[in-house]
Amino acid sequence: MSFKEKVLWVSLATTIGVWGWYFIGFVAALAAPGFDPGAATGRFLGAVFLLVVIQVVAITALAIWTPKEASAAADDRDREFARRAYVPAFVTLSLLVATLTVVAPMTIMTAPAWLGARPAITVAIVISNALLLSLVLAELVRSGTQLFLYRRGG
Amino acid sequence: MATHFDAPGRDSGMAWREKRAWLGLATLAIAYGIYFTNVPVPVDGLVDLRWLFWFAAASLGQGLTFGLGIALLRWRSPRGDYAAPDERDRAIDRRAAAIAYYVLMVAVIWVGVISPFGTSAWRIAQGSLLAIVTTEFVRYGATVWSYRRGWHG
Repeated sequence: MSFKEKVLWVSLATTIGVWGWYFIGFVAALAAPGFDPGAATGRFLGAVFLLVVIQVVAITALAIWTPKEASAAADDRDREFARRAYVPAFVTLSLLVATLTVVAPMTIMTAPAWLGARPAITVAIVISNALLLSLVLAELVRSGTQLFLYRRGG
Repeated sequence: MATHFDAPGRDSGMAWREKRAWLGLATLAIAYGIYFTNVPVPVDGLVDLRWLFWFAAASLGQGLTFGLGIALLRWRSPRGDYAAPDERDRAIDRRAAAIAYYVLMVAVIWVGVISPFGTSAWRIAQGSLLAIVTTEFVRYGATVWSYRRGWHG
C-alpha cells in the first residue's frame, strides 16, 4: 500500500470518527428540551481541533514509520486518481447544497412549529450544520473514490 | 466569418462543449441576476412567499433556456461535434470540477461555518444559493478558459 493510500485511509477513518461523534452529539443536543448554542459552537470547535490533532499525529507517525515512501513525490497515478475523485465529490457537494437552498427557506418558514423553547438562532445553526454535513460527505466521497481507484488498480 | 449559429453541418471553429459552457454562463447570469435583484427580503423574520415564485422562475427559466439552447446548438452542429467526449474533453471536465469544488468548499465554509455567527438563517439560505450559482459560473468559466487557451491536460 502506498503512502498516499495510507494517508487517505487515515483521513477517511478520522473524518468518519470525529464528524460522526460531532453530528450524533449535535442531533442529541437538538432533541433535548434546552438547546445551548454556545455549547454547540464549543463542540464544533472541539471537533475541528480534534480532527487536526489526530490527523497530524497519525500522518507524522506514518511518515516516521515509512520515511522513504513519505518523502517520495506523488507520481502520475496518484495525481490521476486525485483528479478523477474531484468529479463525484463536486457532484455530491453541489447536489447537497442545491437541495439545501430549497429546504432551508422551508425550515425557516416552519420554525415556529418545531422551535419550541429553543432560541431563534437554532434555525441558523441547524442550516449551517446541514452545510457542514454536506462538506463532510463530499470529502468522504473524494477520499472514498481515490481509495476505490487504488484498490481497483486504476 | 463563422458565428456560434452557423448553418447545419458547418463548423464554427468552437468546440461543442465550449459552446455549451458559454450557454451555461449566459443563462446562469441572466436567470440568477434577475433572481437576486428581485428576491424579497424577510421582514421581522417572516419569509415572503413571493420568494418561491422568483426561485421557481429562475430555476425553471434557466433549465428550460439551457435545454432549448442545447437542442438548438445540437441541431446546428455537425454530428461528430457532440459525440462522446474525448480524452481532452474529459481532462477539461475534471479540471473545471476540481476548481469548482474548491470554490464551493470555500463558499460553503464561509456561508455555513463563519457567517452564522453574525447573520440570519435567511441570509445563510440565500448565501448557499449564491455559492452554487457562483460555483457553476466558475465551472463553466474554467471550461471556456481551458478550451480558449488550448489546454490539453
